Amino acid sequence: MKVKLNINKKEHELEIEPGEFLLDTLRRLGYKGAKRGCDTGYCGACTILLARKPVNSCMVFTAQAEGQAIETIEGIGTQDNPHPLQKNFVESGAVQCGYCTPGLILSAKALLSRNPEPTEEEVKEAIAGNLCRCTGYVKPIEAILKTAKELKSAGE
Amino acid sequence: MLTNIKEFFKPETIDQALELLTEKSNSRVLAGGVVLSKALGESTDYLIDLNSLPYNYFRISSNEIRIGALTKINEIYRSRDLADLKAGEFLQTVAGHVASEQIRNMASIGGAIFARHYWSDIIPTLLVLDTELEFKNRDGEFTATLEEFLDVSNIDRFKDSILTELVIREPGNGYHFWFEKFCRTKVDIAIVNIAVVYLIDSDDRFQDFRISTGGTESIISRKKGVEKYLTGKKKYSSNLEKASDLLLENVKPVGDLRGSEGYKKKLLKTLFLESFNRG
Repeated sequence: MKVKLNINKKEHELEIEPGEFLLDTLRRLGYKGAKRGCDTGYCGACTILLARKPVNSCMVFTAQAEGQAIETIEGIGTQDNPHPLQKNFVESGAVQCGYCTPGLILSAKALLSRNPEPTEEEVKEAIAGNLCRCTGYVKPIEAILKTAKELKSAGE
Repeated sequence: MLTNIKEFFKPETIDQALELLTEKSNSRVLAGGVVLSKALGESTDYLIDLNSLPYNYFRISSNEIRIGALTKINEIYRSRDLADLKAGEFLQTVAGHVASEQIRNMASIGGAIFARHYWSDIIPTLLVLDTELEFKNRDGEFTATLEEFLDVSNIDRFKDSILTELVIREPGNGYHFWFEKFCRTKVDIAIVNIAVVYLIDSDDRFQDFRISTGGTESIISRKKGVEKYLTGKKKYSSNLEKASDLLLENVKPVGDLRGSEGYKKKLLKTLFLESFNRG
């Protein structure tokens, strides 16, 4: 079946299988930031933003996503112009193996969009669906809170 | 990828959806997709995506809440309006216990009911709120209680029907609401959970006592024996202890990798007694 997908504000028209999942579609289109972890909606490594909300792309049928804005890690910043979250994740030491990082950052981005001044508890709740086996979450939480402060100062 | 799916339909009206449901054998309706995406059998040939249908809303009056069946769990959790009623505030609190942000953004309240998971947080909560369900099929619209829907002897009644709305009525002034869930991590499903609603009258007696538990049997239900026992009784520890014994006599927890039957029973008793300290 043919679908039109809006990925990082770019329109893609493509053929998919009816039972295809968004994670598979994104990765074959070259958006490899979303990772296959558990494939059961538990680990969050496949997290992307759908209509600005974090979802597990391993559980979203690609056809369901038609007509909604899809945002992947590739769309929020570049190596030369990283998103403040990406910059702070790197500078805070919040990235070790990096497998969970795209999903974690997107969950954090969604949080800061709806709650620009989260408490630490609110950050933990927002990223509870992104498992990390490396960092123990301390540095990612630090990076997110630091980003919130910076964005608030920049806005003032 | 689910290679067995032959076609993916996106009906724009409920009548189109119902026509597909009845005419395409081996079809399943898709709401959030959280359950279907990982638990669909190979016998399913067609998916009918309901998300274009207008069943994502809250309609709140002074004593009633109507929720569209396609409303996402996170929309319930984050709604500013639901907390205007105690029943709505209670449902919101429970919605926040469900899995992760990602799952709550996808899962619909209608899907949570249809899945009939024995560990559901939503179903015991809706049961103690005496929730009614509105359905539509090709013969028209009809109403059923959530209890009727969960009763497997009624399963044919709901065949080829689509759940459109939930109706929750505010119980009245002075009611206590309590939900507690015991799970391994914040995003995990319940080992056991408990939902309790009751009133304490001027004589310090329980009235309209309602209780339901999850993780404790294959089909979630109200614990009528406990409800009958406690209604009219004073809130003495001896009565609560006896009620907890009754509760344990009438549950047969599903032993699974999260806990054995014996472990779940011990947890359930603790949660039950705790609900009166904190509810």
